[in-house]
Parts: sequence; C-alpha cells; structure tokens
Amino acid sequence: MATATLRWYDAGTPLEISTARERHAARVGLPVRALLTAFIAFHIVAVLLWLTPATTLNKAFLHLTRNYISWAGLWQNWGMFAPEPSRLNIYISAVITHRDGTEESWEFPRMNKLDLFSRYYKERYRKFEEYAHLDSFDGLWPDIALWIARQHDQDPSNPPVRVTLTRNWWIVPPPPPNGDISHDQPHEWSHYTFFSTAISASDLR
Amino acid sequence: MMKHVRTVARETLTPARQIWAAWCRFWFAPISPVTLGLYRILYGCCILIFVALLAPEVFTWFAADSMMRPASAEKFWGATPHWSVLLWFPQRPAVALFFVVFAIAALLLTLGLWTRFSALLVFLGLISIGHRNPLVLNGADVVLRVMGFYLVLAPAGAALSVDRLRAIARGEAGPKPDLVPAWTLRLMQLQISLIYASTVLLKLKGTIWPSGLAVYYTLRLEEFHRFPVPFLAHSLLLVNLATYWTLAVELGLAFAVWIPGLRRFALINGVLLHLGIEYSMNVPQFEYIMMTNLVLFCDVEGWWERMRARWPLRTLARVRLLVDGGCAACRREVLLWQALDPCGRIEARDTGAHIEPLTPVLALSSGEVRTGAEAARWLAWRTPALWPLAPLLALPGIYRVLRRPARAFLGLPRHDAVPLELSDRTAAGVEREAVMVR
Repeated sequence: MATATLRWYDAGTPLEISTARERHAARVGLPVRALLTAFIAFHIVAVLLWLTPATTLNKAFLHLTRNYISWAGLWQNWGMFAPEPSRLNIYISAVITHRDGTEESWEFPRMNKLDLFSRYYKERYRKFEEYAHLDSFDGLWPDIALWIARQHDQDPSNPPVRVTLTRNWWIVPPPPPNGDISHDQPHEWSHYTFFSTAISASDLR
Repeated sequence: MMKHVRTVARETLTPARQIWAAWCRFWFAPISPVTLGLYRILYGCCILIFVALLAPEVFTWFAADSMMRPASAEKFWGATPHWSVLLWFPQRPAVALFFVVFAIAALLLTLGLWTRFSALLVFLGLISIGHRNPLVLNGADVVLRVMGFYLVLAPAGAALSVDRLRAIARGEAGPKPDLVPAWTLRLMQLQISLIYASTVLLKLKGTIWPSGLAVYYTLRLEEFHRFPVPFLAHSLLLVNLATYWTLAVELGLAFAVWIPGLRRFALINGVLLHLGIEYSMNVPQFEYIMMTNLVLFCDVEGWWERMRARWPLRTLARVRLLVDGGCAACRREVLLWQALDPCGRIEARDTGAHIEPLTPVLALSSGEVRTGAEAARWLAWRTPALWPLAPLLALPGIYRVLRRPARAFLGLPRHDAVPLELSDRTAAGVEREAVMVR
C-alpha cells in the first residue's frame, strides 16, 4: 500500500506554469509622468507649508494650498509631546443637582483607575478632556453639561436641574536641584469650578 | 559591463536630463507591490481595531446629543472647509449605520476585495469622523486618515488580496504580482519621514526635550500610566538617555531610513522605541500604527524570498498538487493555490488526468494522498490566508456547499469533469483519458 501511494507522489511531470502574462512591469508614459510630477510637487509643497511654523513664506503661500489640505482630509499636526511634554495631571468632575435637591457626583473616566482593557476604549474621554477644560473651548461646556444631565436622568419625577463642572489638577514639579528623583515628590490636587448651568425639562427631551 | 554601459550613458546626458532620470527612477521605477499589500492588511486591521474601540462610545462622541453637538463642531471649524456624513446625518440610527458601513469597508480593505473602492470608503469615513469630532482623535487617528489618502491612490490590491486571486482565476494575472510604479509608496514613505522630522523639530524648539528631561515628565502623567518602569522613572541619568535616544531615533526615522546602509538600524530602533512607549504609556493604537508604517520601508518580497531559502522554511515538506497540465482552468487553480502559499510548498505535477477545479488532489511526501474536502482542509491549515476558513472546513458537507459559490465568486470557468477516483488508478496508470464525462 505504501509503495502504491508513494508512486502517486512521483506521478506525472513537474508543471511550471508560465502564463502569457509574465511578470509585467507597469511603465508610466511621459505625459503621465509629467502630470504625476506636477501633482507630487504640489502635494509635497502643500504638506510642507501646512507643517512648517508660521513664517513670512508660509503665510504668503499657505492660502493657495489650505483648501486642498482641508478637503482632501490631509490636515495634520505632529506635536506629540512637543514642543514641551505636558506637565498637567487633570480631570473634569461634575456635580448633578436633582429637583429634590439631592446631588450626585460624576467624573470623566480616569485612565489610571481603569483596568487595562477599559483604558483602550475609554481613552477618548482623556483626549476630549485635554481640550474641554480649556477656556478657549468654553463653547463645549453646555454640550458636556447636557450630556452628563441626560446620563443622570433616570427618575422622571426627579430630573437633574443643574450641572456644575469642576477641573481638578496638579502640575508635575521639576526634578529637585540635587537631581535625586528616586522618590516622587508629594503633590496636592487643585480644584476650580468653571461652569454651572441650569437644566430645563426641554433640554432633557 | 552593464555598469560601464550605464556610466557611459549617464555621462552623455546633460545635467538636467540626469536630474530628470534620477527623479523618474525614484518616483516611477517599477517595484514589487507586496510591501503595499502587506501594509494594506496591517492598516485594515488597525482600522478594524479603531472601530472596535470606538464602537461602545459612538453616540457619546458623534450623535446629535453627544458631548460635542453638531453646532459646536460647525463652530469649531468656522470658515475652514469641512464636511462630514456625521454632520449631515447626526441622528443615532444614521450614526450606527455609518459605523456599520465603515467597518464593512475596513474588512473589505483588509481582505483586498474591491480594494480601491473600499479604501475610498474608509478614507471618506475617516474624514467624516475627523470633521465631526476632532477633539477625541489622537495622533494615531490622524496617521490613519492621512495614510488612507495614499492608499486610495496606491495599487494596494495588486498583491496579497482577494482581487489578485480573482484576477488569477480569470486568467488576468501571472504567478507573481505585476510590478507597479513606485510613486505612491514613495509618497507614503516621505509622509512618514515628515511625521518624525516634524515632531523632532517641534521638540527641539522647546526647552524640556533639549534639556533631557522630557521622559521624566511624561512618566509622571498619571493618565498615561500603563506598566511601571521604576528603574527608568527614578534615575536622572536614564531619563536623560531615554530622552536623547527618543530624539535620535525619531531623527533616524526621518533621515537615516533613506540611507540603505543605515535603514535596518533606524527601523530596529524605531520598533524598540514604539514597543517601549506601548509598554509604559497608555496611548492606544498609536504605537502599533507607527510600527505598521515602518513596513513601508521594507522590501517585503525580497526579504520573504530570502527567508524561504533559509531554515526552517526551507525544510518544510513539499506537497504535490496533481493536475491536468493541458487544462487551462486547472493551471489557474494551481496558480490560485500557489498564490495562497507563501512558503512555496505546493508543487504542481502534470498527470494528464482531468480533475475538477477546487477539488485538489494532493500527494504528500509522506506517501499519503488526499483529495477533495480532505485536501482543501489540509491546505487551509497550512495557508495563513485561509486560517479563518480552516475550522469551517472541518464541518461535514461544508466543502461541497461552498465549492460552487467559491468557484463562481473567483470566476473560475465551469468544468464538466468528475473528480479523479484514486482507487481506480495507479500512478503509472494515470492517463489523459476517460475523465471527461457529463
């Protein structure tokens, strides 16, 4: 039996398949090369103008390429912990006041208090907080307050009537002058209530 | 000799023509599409993970009643041109539908099915997400969006894709994927280098990075903690070394990566840097996406050819696929199996007997012979691209059910042949006869 099956392994002759189309190398004709060259040059200049800091040259030409970058979805910024890494540990907390005067507290998910997996999909809260706590983003505060109110609108007879937002932070101190960083320096949280708004029944609908 | 001819030819060119020739070599020389194919698969996986991580919170960030309502997004962008499907249709069902379509497009892109169209859908989806709520996106998401632009332009389905399998089945593709012009890959490589160059320049404009203390601060940001690195966080010397090494690696990935002799060194350091950050800091997906981008600097096909010639791949047992060499559809079937076989284990043998397509007959070096479903299972377990299908093929009868739609989907021509009955024949008796029955 083994002999018979081994003969199958040796059956036939090796088959090298060569199709009519051997490995084809796409050639780019001169007119297409010229067009592509123009596009490549324009694209690289547009991205460089977008990325370079505001200079006279940059200001003079950026308006020519800004629309291309925006419409083509190429806006970008690579300030990853740059020019300075953040020194700010911050989170936003909220107090929700219900119609009967009871208060609930809530805070944005804090990554260092979550399990490893939750940190992956809750990280967007941390990113959002990075902007949301800034005064320049005060237009977002009513949206945030309303969203929090909706999350706490569980009892129709006792809906939220006010949401108050507080930022809580501490700043990482520089290393001590003697350079000994073997122990972390003590720190205290600071708190500042930056927004408070009344919530009406129509807001919750 | 060739070198001499090339040198003489170059000397006869004017400087302007030399520059043009060098430009054309850099941008338009034919290259293997396998690097782009592998990148597409990894990129597609990153998009799928991106969707999976976003899925539990899509209404929190993108619905009409989200933490950033459409009016706030419009205000954020102001006069800057912007558009988003999620701004046009902010209702919850529409948002849910958007993400379902987006996930399907990402899956198709990963598989390389209708590649350019699925790449376009993914890219438009990423722009929509970016314009709808830019405040929840980190560097990783921006990289995905920007690289998506290039993937739309690139022949990303020319290799390692279902599109290529279908082209083989239709007789439109050869044993190896066609070479493609380099320009899209070059644009992607330039973009990656620009990312690193840009971040280094920005870092050098500050004071903390040049002073060597950046790692000291980043390791003390509570929200970024993942696993502890006490030996690093508590030694000023190591903090300084890690900070300067980070700058050096990023500089290397901006410039040294273009020098062939330094490329491998730059890439290995880049991978180590991203693995180190992934271990110590909670920046989901960013490090994996950046490591995926480094693939663009590798000649994947050349590297794999070298690996195949080495241990242990070189020692893998060969398997022989018995086919009728005179049958065009059978030859296409062989090409299909060989395209799915990265280790080059499948050899074709012309037996002269007509065997139905997608009904492989395998002869193993151990002396075993496997046919039909059994052979398909054997191949599926040994073909990484078919691993997701392999457990399914263990179900009785499933092979028979899937065979016809698979053949129709791939576009293999129909056959009137019946499977070879091995028991009726001996190896010597396999003849070109008697199998063409209705």
